[in-house]
Amino acid sequence: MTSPKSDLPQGTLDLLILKVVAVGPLHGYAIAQRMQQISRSVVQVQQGTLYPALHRLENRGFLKAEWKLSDTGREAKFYRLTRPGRAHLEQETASWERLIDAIALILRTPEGETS
Amino acid sequence: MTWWYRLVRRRQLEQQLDAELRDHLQRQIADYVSEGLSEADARRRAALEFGGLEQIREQCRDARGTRFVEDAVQDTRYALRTLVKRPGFTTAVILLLGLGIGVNTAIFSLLHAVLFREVAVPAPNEIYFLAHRHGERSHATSNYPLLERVRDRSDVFDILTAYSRTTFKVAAGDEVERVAGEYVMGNYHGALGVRFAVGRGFSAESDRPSSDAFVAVLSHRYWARAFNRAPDVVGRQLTVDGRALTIVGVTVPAFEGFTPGHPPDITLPLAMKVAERPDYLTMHDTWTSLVPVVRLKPGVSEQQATTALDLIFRQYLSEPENAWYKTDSTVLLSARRGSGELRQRYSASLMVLMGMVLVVLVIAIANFALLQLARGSARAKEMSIRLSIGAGRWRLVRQLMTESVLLALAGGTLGVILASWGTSAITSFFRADHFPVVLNVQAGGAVLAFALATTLITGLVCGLTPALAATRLDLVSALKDLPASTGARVGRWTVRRALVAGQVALCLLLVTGAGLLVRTLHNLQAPDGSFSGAGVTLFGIEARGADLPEDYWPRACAAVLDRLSQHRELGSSACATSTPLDLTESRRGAVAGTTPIAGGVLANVVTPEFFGAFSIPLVRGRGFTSQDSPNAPLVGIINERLARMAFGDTDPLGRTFHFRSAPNQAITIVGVVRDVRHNPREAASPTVYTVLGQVGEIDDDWITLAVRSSNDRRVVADTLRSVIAAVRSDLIVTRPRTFDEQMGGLLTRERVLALLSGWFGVLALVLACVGLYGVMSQDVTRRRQEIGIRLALGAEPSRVLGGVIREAALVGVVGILVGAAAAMATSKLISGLLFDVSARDPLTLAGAAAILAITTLLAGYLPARRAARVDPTMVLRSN
Repeated sequence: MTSPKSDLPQGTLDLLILKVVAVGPLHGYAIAQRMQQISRSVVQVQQGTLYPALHRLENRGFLKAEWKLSDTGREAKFYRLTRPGRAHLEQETASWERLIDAIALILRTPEGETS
Repeated sequence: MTWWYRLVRRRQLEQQLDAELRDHLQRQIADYVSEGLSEADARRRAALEFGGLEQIREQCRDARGTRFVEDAVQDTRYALRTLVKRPGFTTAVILLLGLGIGVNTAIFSLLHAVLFREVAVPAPNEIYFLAHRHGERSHATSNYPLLERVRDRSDVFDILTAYSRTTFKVAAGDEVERVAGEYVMGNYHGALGVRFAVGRGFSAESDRPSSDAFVAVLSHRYWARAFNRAPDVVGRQLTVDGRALTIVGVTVPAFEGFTPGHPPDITLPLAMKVAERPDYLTMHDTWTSLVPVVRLKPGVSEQQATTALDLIFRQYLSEPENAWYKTDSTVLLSARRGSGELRQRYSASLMVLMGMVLVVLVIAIANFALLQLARGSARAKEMSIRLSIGAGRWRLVRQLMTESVLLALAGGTLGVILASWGTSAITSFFRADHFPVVLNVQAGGAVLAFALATTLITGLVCGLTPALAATRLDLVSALKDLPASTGARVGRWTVRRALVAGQVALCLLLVTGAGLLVRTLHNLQAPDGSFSGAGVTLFGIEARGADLPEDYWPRACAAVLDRLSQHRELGSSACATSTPLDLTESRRGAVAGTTPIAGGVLANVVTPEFFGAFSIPLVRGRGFTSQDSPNAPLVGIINERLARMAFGDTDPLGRTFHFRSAPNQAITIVGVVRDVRHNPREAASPTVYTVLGQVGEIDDDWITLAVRSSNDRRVVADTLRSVIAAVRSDLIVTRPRTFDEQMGGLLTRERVLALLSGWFGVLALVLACVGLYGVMSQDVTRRRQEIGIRLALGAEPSRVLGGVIREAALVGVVGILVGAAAAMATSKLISGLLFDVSARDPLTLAGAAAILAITTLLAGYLPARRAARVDPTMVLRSN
């Protein structure tokens, strides 16, 4: 990769997808667009990896998919957050924040004080 | 969307996936076009950013979690196609595994029926026999007064009931039939929860005789046999032991009582027994044949119950009138699987047979593995192509495994069919037993589970080794089509040779075992010169009535024998209470002069011609004559063993003895005869013969009649029937059999073992032979080129022949040595079944080794001859 952007940390893709879909039902392309907007300069989301993740989340029951008529006049697959999905999102967000706080705390500690 | 839905709607999901991905790309292209890119550029850029479409599809499929099954379906389809293309191989393997799994399933279903089947009542694990232990032995007997005391302890025992085995005489038209049956306490059926196919069980709470007691319960088997499953059987009359009873119910087929192998066909209330023996309920000076069965109260441990029981027992025994019996302790024996006689009698044999068939299966599996290995080299090219274009090794292994599991499943199905055949054939042997064993062997859940487990293990084991070998390839040489073993050293120990040597070893083990069992049977049948049973036909003579007068049998026998002696075509005939090798065990207390004979004697009450009928040699003195009539002086004849025991070196003739039960009847010894065994496995008991009519009452209502004749059994039986019809129509002829037939029945277990192990040995030999032949001939095929060159350079064909045979011989020798070591190591397992031959008998082992050696050489000879006939010019031209 010539891009200076970092890869997405392991396991965060699912979290991001759930967060994006939490706004309302979206189809795959829209989800990809939103994720690119949000993470524009920071992380790299390979578009192709999105779909296996969507399918995995759907099969785990966190997302529910429906085929609906879209703006293009064709049917598109819209993903919607389910109740277990929302619970999972909240839980994961909380643990993610705890992790960030902990890492930040360690990084802010002046050298020599850790031991 | 469930996993199942995802699996079955695969096609629909694929379409949706396509539509979704296409939708994404089209939107992206549209966006780029609106940003000002040309249609073509937009398309290229979108595709570039999106990544490999097929890869994404695969990942999405993986996310469904149904991949495993889809692959399995694909593997199965592929395997089926491959197998159908090779019908010869497929048929051979299915037959091979079918035989292997079939014999295993057959023996297992027997093993299961004999060793593991539970009594068909609710919660059988809570049921115990109440037994008392004396020394090493436990006896599940009791008497009614003691049972009544145990029954009062309702705080420990939920229920108490008891049964007593017997046989009944049932009138069937003009004939009388002996039917296995039981007397049971009135609460038996209700207390145990026995289920009924028709009608009900006994309901009386009391075991005292009453008009309600004239009832009978039938087994399902007897209902089918005697009543043709008539639905209106309840209420019908049945004459049992001369009393008319009303049938009240038929038990379900699964219920076979507590004695495996001997299910009761007719069950009567104990009150009927009491009607016959009024003191039965109060008799406390002896143990009766009542077997007590208890069900523990929920929450009461076996230990608590035993303690409570022991207290009752000690108290009972401390009372002076009961002090006669010495007992060490009381125990509860689990009644979950019924009483243990059949298990004790057959478990060792069945275990040995099970071991043998497992060995046969292992040999069959080895053959299958050999075939797979051979195919593996043929498929080396296919495998290497698939490996080199990136197929995962595990994926290929799984595919090869699928194939062998499929073959095993087909073999297993065939096996279960063969087994259902085999089991009925084997159980028919048991029916020829002296005490016919009725085994209800059904392909139940446990047996099918066993067959399935064996099948799957077989499939996996068979598949794994060759699959791993086939995928561990030298890709370059396989693709270049070079024979992998070019220049390989002769006599190299490959996996295949090790497998064949292992087969030979296992084969030797089986053949040795079979040899030992055949010799055991032979030893047991060998005559010892003390009597001759050849040409003797035996009959049971039964009295129709009961309560026979004391002189009933002397008169009846005299009348019948007198009339029989007028038939010139018949030889000597005699009546006796026991005959040689009839398994008589009971002994009577006897006193020689004034010295009691330790352990008592076997008392045989006979008519004078007995020794003639069985050609028993007289050693000293005289035999019985017609002069020894009831009013003449009491005379007896003893056997050599008793003569030695009681009189040592002194002459027993003219000395006297008497039975403990008749101290006033001194019997003068007039002769000594050779020791006649009554049990083929044991030395002869000290025996006393007395004349029928002089001393010794006959307890039973039947006696044995032996007739020496060269005529067929049926002809003799017809003669006897006509004689009896003419002189004593109060008698019935039962169980006609030749002496040899009786002997055969006695040795059923040994004969079945010898026969089956012999067949398993032959089967194993054939399989090992095929295995060795296959390996050697494949070797020759592979080394054709080398052999051709050697022959072209002037090697003698006989040397080539010898070389190949030597290799086969080497495999054989290694196998035989390993097998001999294994036979030595496992000798303990079989020694309990042998008679008069050591489990490490060198002669048997040598014989087995010789058989294996010859077989090995034969299997090696054919490929060797082919090698010697290789045409050098043909070989050299082909490369």
